Amino acid sequence: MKKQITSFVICGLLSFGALACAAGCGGTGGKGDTIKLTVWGSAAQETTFKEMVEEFKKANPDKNYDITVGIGEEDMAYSNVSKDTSAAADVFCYANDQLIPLLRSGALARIGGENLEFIKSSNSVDSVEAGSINYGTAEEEVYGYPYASGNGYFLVYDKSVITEEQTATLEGVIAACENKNKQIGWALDVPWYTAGWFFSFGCNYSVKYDYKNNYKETEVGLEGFNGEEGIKASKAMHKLTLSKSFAGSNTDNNTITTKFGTGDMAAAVTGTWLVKSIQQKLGDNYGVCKLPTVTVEGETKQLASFIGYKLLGVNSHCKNPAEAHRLAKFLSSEAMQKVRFEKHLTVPSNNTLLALDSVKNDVTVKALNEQNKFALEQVSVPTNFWEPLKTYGSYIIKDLLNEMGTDGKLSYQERLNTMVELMKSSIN
Amino acid sequence: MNLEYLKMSPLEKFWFNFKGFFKRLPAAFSAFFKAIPKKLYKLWLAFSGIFINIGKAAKDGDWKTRLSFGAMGFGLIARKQYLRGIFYLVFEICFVLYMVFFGWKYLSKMGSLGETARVEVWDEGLGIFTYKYYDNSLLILLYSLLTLFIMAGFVFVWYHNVKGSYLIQQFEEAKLKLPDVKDELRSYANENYHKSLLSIPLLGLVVFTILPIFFMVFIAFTNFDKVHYPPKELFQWVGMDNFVNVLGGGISANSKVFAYTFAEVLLWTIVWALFATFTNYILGMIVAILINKKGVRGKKVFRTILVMTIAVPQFVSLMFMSQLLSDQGLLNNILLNLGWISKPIPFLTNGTAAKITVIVVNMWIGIPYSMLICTGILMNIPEDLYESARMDGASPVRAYMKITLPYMLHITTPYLITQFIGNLNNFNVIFLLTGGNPSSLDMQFAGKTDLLITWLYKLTVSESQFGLASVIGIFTFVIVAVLSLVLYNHSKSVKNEEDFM
Amino acid sequence: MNNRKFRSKKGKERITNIIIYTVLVLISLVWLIPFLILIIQSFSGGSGMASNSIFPKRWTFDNYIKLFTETKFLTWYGNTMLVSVVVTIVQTIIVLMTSYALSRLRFKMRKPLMNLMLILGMFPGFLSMTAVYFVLKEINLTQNLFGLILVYSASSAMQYYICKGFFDTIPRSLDEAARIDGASRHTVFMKIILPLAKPIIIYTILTAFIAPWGEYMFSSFIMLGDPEKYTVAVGMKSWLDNSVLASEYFTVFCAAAVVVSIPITALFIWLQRYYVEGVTGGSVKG
Repeated sequence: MKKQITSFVICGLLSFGALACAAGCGGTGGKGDTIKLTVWGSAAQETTFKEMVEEFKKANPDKNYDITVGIGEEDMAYSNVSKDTSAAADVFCYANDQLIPLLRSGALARIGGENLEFIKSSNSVDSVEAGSINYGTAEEEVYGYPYASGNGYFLVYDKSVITEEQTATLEGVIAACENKNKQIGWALDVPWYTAGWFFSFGCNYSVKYDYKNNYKETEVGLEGFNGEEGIKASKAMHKLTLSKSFAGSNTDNNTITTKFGTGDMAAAVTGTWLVKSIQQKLGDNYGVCKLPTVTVEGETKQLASFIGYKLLGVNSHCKNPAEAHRLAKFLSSEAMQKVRFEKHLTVPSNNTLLALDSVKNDVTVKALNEQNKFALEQVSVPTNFWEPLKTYGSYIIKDLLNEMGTDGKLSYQERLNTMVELMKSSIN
Repeated sequence: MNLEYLKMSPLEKFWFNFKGFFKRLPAAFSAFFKAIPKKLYKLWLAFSGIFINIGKAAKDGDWKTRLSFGAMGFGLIARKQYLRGIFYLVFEICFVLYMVFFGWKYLSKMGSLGETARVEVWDEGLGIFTYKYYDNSLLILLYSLLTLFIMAGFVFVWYHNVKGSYLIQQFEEAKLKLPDVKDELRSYANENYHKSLLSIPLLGLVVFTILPIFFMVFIAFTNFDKVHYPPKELFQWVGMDNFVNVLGGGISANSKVFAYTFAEVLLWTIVWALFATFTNYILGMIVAILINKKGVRGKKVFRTILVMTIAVPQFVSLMFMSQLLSDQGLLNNILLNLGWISKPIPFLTNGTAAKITVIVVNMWIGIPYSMLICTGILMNIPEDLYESARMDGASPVRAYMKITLPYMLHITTPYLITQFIGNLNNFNVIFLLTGGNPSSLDMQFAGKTDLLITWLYKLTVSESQFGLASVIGIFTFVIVAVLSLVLYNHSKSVKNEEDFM
Repeated sequence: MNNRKFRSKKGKERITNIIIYTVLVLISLVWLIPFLILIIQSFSGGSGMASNSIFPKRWTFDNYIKLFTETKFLTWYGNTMLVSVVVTIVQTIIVLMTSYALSRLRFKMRKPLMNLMLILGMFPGFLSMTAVYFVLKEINLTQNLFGLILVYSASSAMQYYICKGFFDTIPRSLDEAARIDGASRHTVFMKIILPLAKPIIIYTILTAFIAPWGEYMFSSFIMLGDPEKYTVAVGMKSWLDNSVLASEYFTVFCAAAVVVSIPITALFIWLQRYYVEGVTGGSVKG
């Protein structure tokens, strides 16, 4: 019996110790004057981020910050953050097509009060809307500090090969390139680029969410993708891919910069992120403009595109939310957007900057703005939109399809039907 | 062994055994399944034995032994068996503390998997929204399982404590000398040596391999997906829904596509594993034979060149290969530049070509390994086998087909089995080389070269379909496990492990 | 008559040898060329893979200079080295202990245990990654090199296979003689088996040492978002993940690959003999 009593005493002592430790460990947070924060941004802008963080520290000399800069690509935000939202950065960058997935995983903290006013007063409406749901209604919820607009694409070309007039039409671009035996880089196996062709001919998508049920998709609408419009888009794409100048599949950023460097490529569809390195290779021959028009069955259409935004989100698990909001606000401020524009040609979302001549009159921004008139806002895309579209694009590149399904090939119609079926199917 | 067998020449004897292996294979499968009831019965016997022991200890034990039922180690400490006694006592204390401060909190919620996930509050003072997180289904499930594991461990230790106490009591009653601390310590270097050797490895295995597997199995019965995503949302138990979905039971419109994808991917996985295993093996053997042929000089140089692929980290060579072979890659560019081809060769973008490419690249990576292994074994083939073949006038090719190949197959069956299983789950080669591409509109979330394992990766990491992925994981696991257990236990070299020397 | 036959046999042999040498040289070329390209690219001043000739227009050391001055490569290298060394030690000890127990000791659960470990190895590892991650998180070892070490070494018992096979080939009469002389099981293991097991120890060390250099999945998950803790595999892949950086960093990637490969290749070539002995001794028996 004595032993048992001893065991109880030991038990009591041990639990007391555990409690004391818990209390002690919890206690250190309150008094500490170092504020720890982490921020994730694109690897391509890591150095810039570090400089901006230093600026932030300078701007707040009364506080003792310990800020870590980590890597997390904007377009991978969901897969990076969702693995363990509580271990993810306090402030992270995301492209606005990641908004719904991020909201589902609960990673984003809602923004309100003064911060919200700051966002709305300084940034373009579209960019704020890109980071929010039910924008402009009573149920409006805003989840990001916009810092970049113009996440879209346009045509970059070599002036020594293609004249400005020729860039107006796809036919002109193809003829010029075939003539000089140069390549055209257009990643039709990347759905982001493929989608534009469909939009040009009037295809459209829509998606409805059940906001109460964690943004579950309730209805996916796809207009025209497997109709006449989709077939026309396929024919238009084929026009490009059947040209001997078409660069083929896997035309990624790496390929484009390298081939502009070697002089093999004379035209490519890409975005602002690659402009600086292409300018380096082409020098004075750097040309940029909106996407060309394309003529299918006597009908001429302007090629459309996607346009998106980039935002800074604050982690809802953040231990120091007030400070994280302060940092996000700073990183998305006018001054910092200006730094990004100057260093990486990231088009700002800040109204004052957008009105600046140096921004407005930049050739690339001009081309982008020109193209934006034909661009679709990349918001609320159905989850399963991308993969099937990507596959369809690769079928076109590989010349596996034609109109009637003859010569051992499948018909556009049949594959488009399958594509739409897959896009609509949602397995949750 | 009958007389006829003894009369055979070494070559015939060998063929006799080799053919026998495959003849007995079907029987081995049926034996495996027939043995299950017997195994279960044995398990039942073992269990009832435990209860009988406990009953005996309760009935015949004195007060010291009986007290050990509650205060573990008491009977032992009271009889001066301090080492074990104190261990049991401390273990019990730790267990109680664990349950009170940690285990119970989660275990009590295992049935519901939590009630409130998180609450959003507007903090006027700071001017921000703040979030409070409560129940996390994922952690509830994981830590409940951990707690169940620990409880099982506790029951196990508790039983040994009771049994030990009773045994010592019997020792005392029989007036035998009780082991002292020294004896006990000594036993852990002798008859209990396996306990000292295996406890740490097994602990690691239980916590970092077995527990996660159990976790995965339980996930298959929940609706853990991107909509039910902790810590923001809870997930719930959904019974067999995921299983029905995978097998195409028609719950949702697309489960047919899903079932088709499963079948397609499974088929390619098996084809891939067979090809990847045997191409590497046979070609590796041939290379080994060539290098080791008498009279060939520079054995070391050739071998070293091949071995370099092993030494360069696989992910480097694979990522490099994928860049090299891409449509815009160096190889295609060079060929285009030379004018040998007019369109890039779709090494990785055409379904069939990509399948061939992965097998060939896998050969490039795997042949050096099998070459090394075969080198050693080839030297051990008994010369008399070749002698009798030569006397029959067999050509070198025939001798290879009749002797070398069967001999090697026979003796390296365990190695082949592990290779085959490894290839079924060969994530690296596919993921880094093709990423499962080229994609196909007939399949969902999968490409032409996706193996089950890379498909699972896509389903979990990019699609967050954890429930479905777990079901596929379980199916894969069961198929592979049964297959390899039968093959493994059937292969002769395992059976004869005792009488090798 | 006899002489001619002899000569023709010799001639035939020579032809065979010529064929064999040709084949071997061809094979060596196939195996070497990708590495040569890798090495050449690491000295290339161009931007790499999308160019159209093997030899760069400009030879340069810039990639190596950039690798060591501008990137975190050295940190990653140090991380991987630390993980590798610790894992090698722990894993070798665990594998030896497990293999000895399974090969030499006879206890009730031996067969089931062997089957269990065989089966566990077939489980698709990353499915359990989430669970492993949260177990580590509970003990505060995520974003931590020791967490990674723990994960790598925890399941090393499953690698017993080849090592046990090797132990099985050591004659049992050796231990029995020692046991009769009064040696404990422990003494037999330390004094008799281990000294004979040099090839398999080296084999285990080699395989354990190489693994962390190439492992990507677990390390990228556990080190999520903390570039200071990356291993080389995670770090180098992060260069190629960002498609804008990829064009700039491809040649640096090649340089890093060369730097990573050199010590391992050297180690391998040096210890090749033991590797062969170990793996043949072990895999035959299984």
